[in-house]
Amino acid sequence: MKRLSRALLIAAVLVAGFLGAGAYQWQAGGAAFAQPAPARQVVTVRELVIVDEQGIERIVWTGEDARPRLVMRDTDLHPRAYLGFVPPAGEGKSAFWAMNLLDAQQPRAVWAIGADGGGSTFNLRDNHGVIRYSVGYTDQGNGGLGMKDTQGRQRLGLGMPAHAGYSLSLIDEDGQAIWSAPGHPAPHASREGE
Amino acid sequence: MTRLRCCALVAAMLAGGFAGGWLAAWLADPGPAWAQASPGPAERLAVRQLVLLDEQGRTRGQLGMIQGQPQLIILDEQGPARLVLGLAGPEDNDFWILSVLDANRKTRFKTAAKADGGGSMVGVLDHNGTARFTIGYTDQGTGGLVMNDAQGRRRFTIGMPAHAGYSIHIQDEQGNDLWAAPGQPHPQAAPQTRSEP
Repeated sequence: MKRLSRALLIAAVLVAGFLGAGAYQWQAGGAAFAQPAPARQVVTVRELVIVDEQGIERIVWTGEDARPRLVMRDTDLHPRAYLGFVPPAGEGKSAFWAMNLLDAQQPRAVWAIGADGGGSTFNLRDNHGVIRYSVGYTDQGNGGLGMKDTQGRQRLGLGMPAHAGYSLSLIDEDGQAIWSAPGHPAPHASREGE
Repeated sequence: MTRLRCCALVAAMLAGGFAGGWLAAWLADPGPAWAQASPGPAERLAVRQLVLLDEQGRTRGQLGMIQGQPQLIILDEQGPARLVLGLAGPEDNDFWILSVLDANRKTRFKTAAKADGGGSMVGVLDHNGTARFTIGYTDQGTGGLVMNDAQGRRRFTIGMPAHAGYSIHIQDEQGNDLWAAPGQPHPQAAPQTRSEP
């Protein structure tokens, strides 16, 4: 009789335990089973790394070195896409917020805005690193669109001074304007309009 | 069964129920416990993919290896991707891209750099997917700025051949030069004839 009541007690406790677990699941709406990894409201880390199937770090999102940035890399770990802060390259240089697409060696498409709000620019570079196309504005209202040849010489300029008319120039290899609009050659298109 | 035994049984069942519930909660939801227990931000978190959900549980952002490619994708509340940054395309012709898409999944702005260094470009497309503004360079040094009409016909060109002067062209629907500078149409940029300095 004693053994029977002990077995009954254990069975009752187990049943109660299962009932308690079931009650929790019911109360939680079964979410725990539907989502094996429940969503967290906020995940706070200093550095987030995305690794591929081979364990290579392909994306790094970090705020280290006071440079918040998101960097995507190829399998050889060359940066290929960059989004974030770029510190000054040297004394007297400006800091930027930038977005770059890069080939294995250098940036090919670059967007940048001065960290101090001093200007913004976009440029396309060729596979030798020469800026071939650029457009930008300064905080004084000046701006320009320029196209260069493979040697980096300015060959087309559309000047957009803040307080004068726009002008367009085609320029030869020696820097001489060979054609311009609105009508006369302009060695420096952006100044000619002023 | 005595009253004492009956009370003991009830107490044991209550304790068992609470224990079962607590165990289920602990097994099902270890994450928040970890997050709350952490005294500060973790140094580093390495995952294959990070998914950002909105309040309704819809996926609004993905950062990770997506279909084998590193990508950042921002989605709207209806589901389509609206911004993609990362590696795209078949393996032997991969591009690193930034694309902004409209609600109809049409790419409206695109920047791409060929993964092998073969060229880079920027394009603005209309609601039909027609490229209306394109500028780009190849690894041979040639390049161009082109503006197309709604039918995709070239109507304005700045030709930038690698080893010749630049030229500007305004073209009609048939591709003939209506106007060109510095005065003669460039054979590559505008093969048709008419030229008005």
